[in-house]
Amino acid sequence: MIKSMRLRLQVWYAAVLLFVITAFAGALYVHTRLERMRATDARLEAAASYLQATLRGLPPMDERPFFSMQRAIRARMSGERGPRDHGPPEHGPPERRLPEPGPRHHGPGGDHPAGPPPGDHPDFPDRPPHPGAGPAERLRAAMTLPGSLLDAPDSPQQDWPYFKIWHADGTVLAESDNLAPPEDSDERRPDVPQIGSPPGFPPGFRWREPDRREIVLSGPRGSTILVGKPFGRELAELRRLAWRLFGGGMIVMVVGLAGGWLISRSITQPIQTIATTASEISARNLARRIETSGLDKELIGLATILNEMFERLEGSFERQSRFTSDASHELRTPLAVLHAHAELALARPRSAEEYRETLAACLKAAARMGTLVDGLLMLARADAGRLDPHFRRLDWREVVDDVVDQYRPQAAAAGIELSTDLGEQVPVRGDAALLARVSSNLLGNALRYTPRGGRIHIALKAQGSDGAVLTVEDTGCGIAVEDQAHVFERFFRADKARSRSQGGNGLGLAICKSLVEAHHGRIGFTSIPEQGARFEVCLPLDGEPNPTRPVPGAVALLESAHVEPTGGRAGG
Amino acid sequence: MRILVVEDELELLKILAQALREEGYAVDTAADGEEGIFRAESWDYDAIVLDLMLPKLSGMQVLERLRLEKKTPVLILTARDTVPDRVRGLDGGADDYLVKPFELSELFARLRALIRRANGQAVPTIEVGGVTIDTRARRATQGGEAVSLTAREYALVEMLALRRGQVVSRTEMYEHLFDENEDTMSNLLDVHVSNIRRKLGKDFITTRRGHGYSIDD
Repeated sequence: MIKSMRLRLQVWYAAVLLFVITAFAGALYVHTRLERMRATDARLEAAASYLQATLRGLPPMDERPFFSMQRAIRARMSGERGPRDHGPPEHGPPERRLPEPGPRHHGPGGDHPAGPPPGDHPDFPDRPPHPGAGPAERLRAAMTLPGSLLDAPDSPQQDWPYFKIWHADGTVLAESDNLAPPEDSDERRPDVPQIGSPPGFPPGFRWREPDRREIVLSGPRGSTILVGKPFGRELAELRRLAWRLFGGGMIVMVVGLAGGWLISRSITQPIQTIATTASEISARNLARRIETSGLDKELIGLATILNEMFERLEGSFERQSRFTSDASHELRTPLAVLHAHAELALARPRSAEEYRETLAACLKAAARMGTLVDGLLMLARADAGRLDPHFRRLDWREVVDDVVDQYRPQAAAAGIELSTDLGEQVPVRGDAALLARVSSNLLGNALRYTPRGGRIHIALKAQGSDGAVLTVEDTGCGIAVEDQAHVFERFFRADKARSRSQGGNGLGLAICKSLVEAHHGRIGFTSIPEQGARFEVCLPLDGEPNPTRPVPGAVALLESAHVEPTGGRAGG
Repeated sequence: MRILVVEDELELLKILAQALREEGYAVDTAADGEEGIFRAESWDYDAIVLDLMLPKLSGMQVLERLRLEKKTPVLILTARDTVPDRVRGLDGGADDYLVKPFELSELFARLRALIRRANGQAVPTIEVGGVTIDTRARRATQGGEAVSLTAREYALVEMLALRRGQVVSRTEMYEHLFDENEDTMSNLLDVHVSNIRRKLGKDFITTRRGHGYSIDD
């Protein structure tokens, strides 16, 4: 399974899917976060600008009113804290609440924000907020952030913005109410930011703690304005978004992977089918083929290649099995003769003459088996490339001449005229014994198929660069057109009865072909049925630069041989 | 009993014919398929030994044509030994299948069985008229004692015994007891019959004048 194509496909697919989902979700998250921050920053900036304008819009004041304001604020604060600790307030709300910024008004008192309503946004700094009011009222009014600059009115109190204004000397001019310590305790509320005193914050946006966003601006006359806002709610929202993205991504991932698994199956399934079919095709049922209809274009190629391979395998199995069956038939028949003779001879006492006949028949059968085994072994060695010929330079003419001499008595006895035209020396490289076998097989065949009174002509000549050609021509029965394609097949016999009765075993020409090919030569024939046959063997002449080069004449001869038997000259 | 051997291997054909004749059969031979079918169609053989790889007409073709008109038992004798070959042979109408090389004794036993079954006989011994005929040993015994019969006489007894109760015509008897090479003189059959009567009793074989001979059940 480790090397599974489908698994690898799936892993890659999962990786790509994971990357895409992560990139998409990450980009969405970052974008949302930046949006939120930008919105918050814009709001902070607006509030700070408002405060800045408010400070500028106060009537021209020297240092002193500022100090007095400061004092007044402090006085109010301490004064307010005092009575609250000890009893119900005695003062009217307007004076008491002097420093309170707008957000405070969301408190338990239930008052609506003290700032002008959003539609009534004052055009600071040109218009004094409350003409005719005293400095304290003016400051109070000025130090109230308008509702439009706050969050949505229903947002929880701890999300309200806070502000703090320092004088140039570092004293606090004003701060929003929600920065004040709790009323009933000196301990600091955990949700109140600890804003240090120095006004030396560089102007710009900054983070306080991880969840508070602040802006620092310089106000008129060296004052410093800080406006901050808790960012926790947004952060929580962003976290929720992140979880949603994560969950959604997981679902997409799972669905995508499942889909991918199905798709990859639709790809690997046909391959699996091909493999199953191929594995089911064995030596026993080679006729089966892979079904190519319904396959994809890419797989049809594979299936076709496999089918072609099976085709070749089937062909070679068929040839092999036919050869085996033929060989076994050829071996068993003389064996049966031998067996029957011996068994019959032993069945009852016989005369000496009968025993002699039996032994002679056995000897004949044994000789026939010997020849056959010899031929089979030679073919097997040639097939395995272990013919091991002792190649040397030799005169082909001499070899042919010797063989012809051996056959002369037989030809004379059969009443066949044997003529030769062997010419000059023909130097070839080869094994004398094997070449002699080629000549004797051809000559033996010619004698076998030529009737009494016929002629056999053997010619040998060197044809320049084409090599040397040996021709054996007879006026025999020739080869029937339908048989011509099979002449060099093993155990093929044109006329079984006649051939066998004269000692042929169907291997002669097959052996010739193997031997000639082992000598890098070509063998071919032309024949007209009932008029004769002409066999040609072409061997490269010794000393040629490329002995494996096919001999042109022989190839043309072979090609024409099966198609048109007209090239054959009857009666050479 | 007359047998046809169709075999293209002349050596084998010769020795088979000789062996079968020594077994007491009348034997005709054919060296190729055409001759084989010609003979098989012309005579009623008791059995045919058929090779498959034959020139001119293959053994299977011979069998096919023969089965169109005759039920003669056929034993295929071939070098083809694969199971599909045997199946094809037997399904093609052959009654038995023997692979070369073979033992003559097995061939003979199979031929005896074929002939016996073709005559509706299940066991190799026949009891008739106080005579026991053992087709395995080709011997007849009467009252526990062996009766010495010549091969031809035994064949005649066996033929009539296999078809006991039926009248077998003289022509039929000639056809089954003598092969074509024998010069069958018309009284040869009568000589054999009288010899048998001398050995097994006068009433063993009944003469149906004008019809032929029979052994009564």
